[in-house]
Amino acid sequence: MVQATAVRLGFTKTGKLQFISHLDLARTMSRVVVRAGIPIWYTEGFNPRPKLVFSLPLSIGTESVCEFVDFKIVEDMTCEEIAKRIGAEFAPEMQVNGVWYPEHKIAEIGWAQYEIKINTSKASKELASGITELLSNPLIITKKSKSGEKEVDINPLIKSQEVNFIDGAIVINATLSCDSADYLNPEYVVKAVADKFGIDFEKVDSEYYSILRYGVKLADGVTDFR
Amino acid sequence: MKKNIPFERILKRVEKPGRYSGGEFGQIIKDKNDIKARVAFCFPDTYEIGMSNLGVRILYSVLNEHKDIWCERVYAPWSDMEEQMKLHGIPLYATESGDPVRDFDIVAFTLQYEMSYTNVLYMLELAGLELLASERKDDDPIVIGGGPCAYNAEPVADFFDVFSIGEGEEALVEFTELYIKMKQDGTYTKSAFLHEAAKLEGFYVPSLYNVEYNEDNTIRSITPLYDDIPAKITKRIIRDMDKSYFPDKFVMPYIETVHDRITLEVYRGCIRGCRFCQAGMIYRPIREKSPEVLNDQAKKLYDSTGYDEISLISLSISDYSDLHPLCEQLLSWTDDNMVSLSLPSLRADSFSKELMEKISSVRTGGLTFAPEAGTQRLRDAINKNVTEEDLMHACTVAFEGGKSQVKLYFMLGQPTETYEDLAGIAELADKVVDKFFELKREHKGDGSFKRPPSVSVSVSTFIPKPFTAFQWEAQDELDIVYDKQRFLESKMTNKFVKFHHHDAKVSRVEAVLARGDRRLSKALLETRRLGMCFDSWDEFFDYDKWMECFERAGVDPAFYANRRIGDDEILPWDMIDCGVTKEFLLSENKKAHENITTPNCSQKCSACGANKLGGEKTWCKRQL
Ligand code: SF4
Repeated sequence: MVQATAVRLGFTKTGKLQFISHLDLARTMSRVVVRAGIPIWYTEGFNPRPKLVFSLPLSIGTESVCEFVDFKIVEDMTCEEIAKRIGAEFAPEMQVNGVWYPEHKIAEIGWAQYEIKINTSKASKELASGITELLSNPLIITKKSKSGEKEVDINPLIKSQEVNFIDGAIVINATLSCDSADYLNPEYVVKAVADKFGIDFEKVDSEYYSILRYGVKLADGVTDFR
Repeated sequence: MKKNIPFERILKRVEKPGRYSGGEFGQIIKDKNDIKARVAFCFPDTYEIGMSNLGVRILYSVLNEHKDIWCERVYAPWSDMEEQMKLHGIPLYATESGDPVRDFDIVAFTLQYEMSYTNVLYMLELAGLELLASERKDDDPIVIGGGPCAYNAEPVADFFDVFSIGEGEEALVEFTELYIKMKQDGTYTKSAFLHEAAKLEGFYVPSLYNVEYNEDNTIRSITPLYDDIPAKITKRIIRDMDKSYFPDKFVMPYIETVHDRITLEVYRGCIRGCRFCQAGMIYRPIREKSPEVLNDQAKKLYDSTGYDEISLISLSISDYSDLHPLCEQLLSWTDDNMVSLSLPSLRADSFSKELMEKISSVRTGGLTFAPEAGTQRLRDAINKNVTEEDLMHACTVAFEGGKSQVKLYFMLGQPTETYEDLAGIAELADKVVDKFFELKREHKGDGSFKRPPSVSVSVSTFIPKPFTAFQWEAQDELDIVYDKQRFLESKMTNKFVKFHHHDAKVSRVEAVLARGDRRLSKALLETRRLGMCFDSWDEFFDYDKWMECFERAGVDPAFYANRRIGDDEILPWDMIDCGVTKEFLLSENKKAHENITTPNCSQKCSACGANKLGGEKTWCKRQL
C-alpha cells in the first residue's frame, strides 16, 4: 500500500457561507477535493468517502477566517499544488489560507479568538465598560445541550477580552475556550450581554450583531495552531 | 418596499438559512450592464425540491449560455422566511443577485404538479406583482409558464401572459431573443410582443384565445383572436437528443437536496402507453441518447461536480435499447472512482447477475414494483403490461439475492374497476409473501432468508389527466373512494404486509385542477385571499379551504373531477396538440372498456400520431 501523507488545509468561510452548517460544509468539502483531483485517502468500508477531519465546529451565523481540515494524500502532490487546485473549486466566499504538513495535533487546540460586533442604539463608552465588567466576573449562564440544560460559570472559559466603542458599535475581542470539554460558543457571550443590558435583537433594524472567528491558539493561548 | 436590511440579519432568524443564502459553487453571476434580458426562473416549491429538478438545471444553463441573457433562480420561501420578508419589506428576490423579481424582464415558472399552483400565486404576491396578467402593466415582467402542467394550464391562464408548450431548451431561448429584439428596435409593447410570441412554434398566449361556454357549462368554442396565430399550438420537441444542449456543470447546493447527485436523462418519452399516464403521452415520441454521449456527459459532470453518485433517470429505464453498453461504459470508470451508479425503475432481470450487483441501487435498495392493478383483467384494461409472473420472477430474483423488502404500487378507482380487482391487490401482496416462504423452504439450511419479508402496499387514487386515454373518465366520488379504501384495509390481513393509501382529498383537488378550465382561475385567486400555499405538503393542505374557494368562485368541483366527459365535447385543452391524437386516445379508451391491450412502441407502432413531430433515434422510425 502507498504511503499516505497527512496535510492540513486552512480556509475561510465568510459572508453568505456563514449560513452553511458543519454537516453541509463537510459534504461540500468532499466534493471539492474530488473535483480538484486531489489524490485523497478514502474511508474504508461499504460506502467509501474522502476522509476529512475538521478541527473545530463553527456555528451557523459565525464567519471565520481560520478554519482547518485535515486529510491524507496517497500520491505525491505539493502543498502549493493542492492549495491552487482547491482554491479553484471554492465559491467566492471561501478562500484558501494555505496547505501545509500539520505541526500540531487537533487535540492541542485550546482557544479561539473572536471579534463580536454588536450594533445597538444603546452603544456607548459606558456600555463598553459595563460589558468589560460583566465578562471579568463570574458569569452564570444556562447552557443547552442534548442532555438538557445546565448552569455554568463561563468566566473561566474567557481567557481575555477587550471591549471597545467604535463607530457607534460595541466591538468585543475575546479569546474563548475551545477545549472539547469546555467549548464556549460565542453566541453565549452575546446572549449574556443582551440579557444583562436589555438589548432586543428582535428590533432587527437597529439591534444586530456579527461574529467572526479570526484566530485559533494552542492551550498556552499564544501559539497559533498550525 | 426597497430592500433595506441586509439579508444576513434576516437569515439569522429563519430555520434553514441555506435555502436562501445562495453563493453556491457554479452559480452564474453576470454583469447587469452587459445583459439585455434578465430571467427569473421560479420553482414554486422549496429550494431542496427545485434544485433537484434536472429540467430546471438544463434550462438555467442553456439560457445562461447566451451572452445577452442572465437567468437566475427563485424558490418559494418557507413560512418562517415569508414572515421575515413581510416584516421587513423584502420582496421576493433572485438567489444570485438578490435583486427583486419584479424588476426582471421575464419571470418564468415551471409547473411540475397542479398542487403547486397556489405557490405560483404566493410567489407573485411576494414579488409585489399583480396576480392577474390583465392588471400587470407594460413595464412589468412577462410571466411565462412551462412544464408538464402547461399542457392544460387553463386553471392558471388568467395569471400568466404566455405558456411554453413542450420542451423548452430551444424554445425559451428563441422567446427571450424575440423579447430582446423587440425591446431593442423599439417595437415592444406587451401586447405587440405577446402577439409575436404567439406566432413562435409552441407558445400559447391565453389572452389571445376566446373561450365560450354552453348552458351546461361545457365549452362551446375556443377561437383565436387573430388569423395569424395558430388555432392549435403544437408542442415543441428536441429532435436529436444527442445534439441537444446538456450542461457540463451544475450549481452545487450546500444543503442537502432531494436528488443531490448527477442525473442523466437516458431518453425522453416512454414506449409503454399506460392509459392513465400523462407523462407516457406528452413526451412522445421516444427519443434516445447514445451511450457514448451519455457516458461523456457523465464524465464531464463528475469532473466538474465531484458528486459520488450518478443516477440514470427515465420513465422506464429497462426499455432503453443500449442499456447494457451504457452501463458497461459507465462502470468502466465509476467503480474505480468510488462513484456509485443507480438506476431507479430497473427491472430485476435486465442483465447478468454480475452486472446487476455492480449497480448500487440494486445492491442497496429493496424491490419496487408497480402492478397498478390487482387483477390481470384490470391491468389489461389500463394497458399496464406486467403480469403476475413478471412480479413473481422479480421477487424471486430479489429474495434469492438476499432482499426481504418489496414495495408495491397500485392505483385505486381506475375506470372499469370492481371490488374483485381491489381484492386482487391484497391477494397479490399475499402471494409475494408466500413466494418468500416457499423460497425460504427451498433454501433451508444455507443461511439465507434470515429476515422476515416485508411487503408494503401503497395505493394512490386515480386522477384523470389531460392527454391520456382516460382523460374523459370520472374520478370516483370521495365516499366511494373511502369505501374502497376500507374494503382494501379489511382484506389486508397478512402480518407481513403493510398498507398505506394516499389522501383521497388531495387527489380530488388535483383532479379538479388537472381537468379544469379558465373559470377555475377565480377559485385560485381565492386561495391567495385565504393565504394558501405549499399545498403539496401534507401539513399545509386544507381540503375545507379548497372547497370554500371553489364555492366562493361559484365552480362545482364535481363538474371537473367526477364527471364522465362526453366523447365529442370540446376539452379545455383542445387548443394544444401534443403529437398524440385525440382519435388515438379515444380508441385507447374504447379498448380499455373491452380489456384489450395495445402493444408498446418497441413491439409495434400503434400510430399514436407523435411520429409527425419527427425526431432522431425514435421507435417510430425503426417501426417503419
Ligand atoms: S408513432 Fe408509433 S412508434 Fe411512434 S410513439 Fe406513436 S405509437 Fe410509438
